[in-house]
Amino acid sequence: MQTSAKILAAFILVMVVSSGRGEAQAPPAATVTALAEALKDSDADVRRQAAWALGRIRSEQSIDALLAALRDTDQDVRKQVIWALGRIRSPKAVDALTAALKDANNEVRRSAAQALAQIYSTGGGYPNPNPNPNPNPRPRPF
Amino acid sequence: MNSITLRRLHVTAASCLTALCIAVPIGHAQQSTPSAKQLSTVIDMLRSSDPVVRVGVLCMRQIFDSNATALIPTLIELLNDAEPVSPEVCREDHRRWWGEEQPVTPGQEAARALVHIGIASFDPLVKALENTGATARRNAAWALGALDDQRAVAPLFASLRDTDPAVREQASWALGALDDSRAVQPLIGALRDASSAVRRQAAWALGAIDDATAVDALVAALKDSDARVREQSAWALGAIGDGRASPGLTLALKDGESRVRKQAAWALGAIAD
Repeated sequence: MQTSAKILAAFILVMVVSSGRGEAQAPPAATVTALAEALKDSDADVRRQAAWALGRIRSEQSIDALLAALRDTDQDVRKQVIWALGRIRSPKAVDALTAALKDANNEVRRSAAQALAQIYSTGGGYPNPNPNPNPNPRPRPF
Repeated sequence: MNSITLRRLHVTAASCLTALCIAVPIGHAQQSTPSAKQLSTVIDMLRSSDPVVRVGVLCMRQIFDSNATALIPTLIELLNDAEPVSPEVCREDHRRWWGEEQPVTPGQEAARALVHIGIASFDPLVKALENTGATARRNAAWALGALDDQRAVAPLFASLRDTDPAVREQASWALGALDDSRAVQPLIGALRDASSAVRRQAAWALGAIDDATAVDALVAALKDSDARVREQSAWALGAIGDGRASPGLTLALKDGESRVRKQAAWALGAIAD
């Protein structure tokens, strides 16, 4: 009786904690895999948008693909990838982000600094390098 | 910032040349009901054979306030007027925001003037949805969307079945702008319209209304033959933010068109939080 009550309590606790982390909307694993694939898309806008989505989803499963995308040829993609790594707050990203502090590009260095600060901080806002990635294609009056 | 200011000055100068200077006496009458003489001057210019004069007067918003209801019949007559003039004739803010440089027509500007006059235009505009001219019907549909009165929803359903695709497209827009959930089912029907422009606008409207009952139909529209429709449907699904769309959007990451893949990636991120 006591044991089953404990199990029930533990189960409820897990449910509460996971819903508290916003996992009610957790996407299927196939979505994360496909977005990780999209980081290798031929179109830079698609790659950047995929990095943004992965930063929103915050799945550990995407870390390796994001680390690889740090070598993207497009600087806007690299900035968005760094932003995503900062949001996911994985310790696995620290070495690569520390290396990015020496990037030739000012904005990449700044993004890397902010991402590292984010990983070491306990919360709060974090600036997105591309604050409005939603290109609502067209609400059209005329 | 500087270039915007310069452009505004330039455009203001253009309006002045065409209309402001002609209509100065009427400008003084804006606080009260205009006199019969002032009205007939305006009506004469609205019926000018020169489209620049017609549009020039129509762009003077201060004339078309709630005291100008006597002008409504003349404005309704102008709704079908599709003679294009340069956008510089009319200083119009939204065009600058959207970066469009398309010509303006007296019919469009008459629709704006009717919206500016306000609710007294409502019944004449509903009647104009049955006008014989397709341009007039389209401009009336736009005006009813912009007028933002929910009573327009039912009349606009009939416009979704108009014979002219441009009218159906504008009616879809208007229903999205009115943001009324009664429009969801008719708009789901419009996702199967023969015209891709209508399907796209219906997808936008469903995203704007943001009602989860549209999710399945929008997921189906991710397989539309037209890339713009697929892109707009992906946007709408992101705007609605329902997790049931994830599998369909995940497939759309493999779409042949990069604009669709990009919008699908955005939508998946938008759904995540």
